[in-house]
Amino acid sequence: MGNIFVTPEWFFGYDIFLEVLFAVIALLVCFYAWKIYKITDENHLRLFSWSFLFIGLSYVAQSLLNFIVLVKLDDDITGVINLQSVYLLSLFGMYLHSILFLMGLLILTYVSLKVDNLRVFTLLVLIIFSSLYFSPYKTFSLYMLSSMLLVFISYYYLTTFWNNRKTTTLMVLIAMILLFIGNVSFIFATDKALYYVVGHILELIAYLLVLVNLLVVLMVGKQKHKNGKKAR
Amino acid sequence: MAKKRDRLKIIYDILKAVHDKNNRIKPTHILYKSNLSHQMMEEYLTDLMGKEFIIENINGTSKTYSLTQKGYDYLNKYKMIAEFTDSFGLE
Repeated sequence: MGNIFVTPEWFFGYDIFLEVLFAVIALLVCFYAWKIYKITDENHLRLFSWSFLFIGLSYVAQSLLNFIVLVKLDDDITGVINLQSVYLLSLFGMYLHSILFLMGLLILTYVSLKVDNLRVFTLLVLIIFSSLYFSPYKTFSLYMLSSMLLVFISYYYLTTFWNNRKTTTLMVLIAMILLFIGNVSFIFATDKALYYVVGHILELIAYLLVLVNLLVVLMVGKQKHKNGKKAR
Repeated sequence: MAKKRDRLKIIYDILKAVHDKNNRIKPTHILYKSNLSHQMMEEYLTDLMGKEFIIENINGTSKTYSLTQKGYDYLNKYKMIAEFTDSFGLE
């Protein structure tokens, strides 16, 4: 059985807007990572791009399904209330989001492990998705698994920041920690509506940090691009 | 962890050396400029030719390397590449 979040009524619509925003930011990171991959031909950049593609698509799926549920609920108020279909739709959205989101985090974890071995990746995929598949509490498992992966990713960014002491890396580190806390909030959101809102707000701050980081990178890159052209 | 960062920087150094030598450089100069062992340099050159960043020109017994458009692109966008990989821990 899957659990569905308890969402405060006043938050209906806002969550969809935020999820669209998260999708746009994640897809932007994916786009630029892909562009850099095309210049460098480095495999880890391709994987990084894919990880954000999956994360972006997970939010696209979530927002789309939440939107359909919202529209359906509005219809049902005036017509025949069919809670079962709304429940199934929410559940489908939840599963689709879970699979895509976990896949994105899994690839990001794999990139952070710096192990270029397909067997290791396959093992990770099998462990994560079989845990999710056989769990009776899908929502709980999703956020537990994603929280665990985010701990690994955060630790990786902590060591990276420790080595390079760059503000931009610090922003990514804080973003990952906030995503982790946000995910932990979602674990409790099946009982208490407030945690659903808190989770979204933490995710919002995290993705805004990622966006600011990306903009800084692009600005710095643009300056050098002009220099490079001069040198040529 | 610093390995990957070094790799991108080494590639930059090799391409820059080619560029600075009027886009025609001998392997011995690359060896000197990139500060690599002979074996490592050969590996990098093979990799860079595979990625089409440079091309090999053989004229009799002498061998030189030149940048391709892709190699120029790498040089021009290196700062953005380095910033992106540094920030997102992809060194």
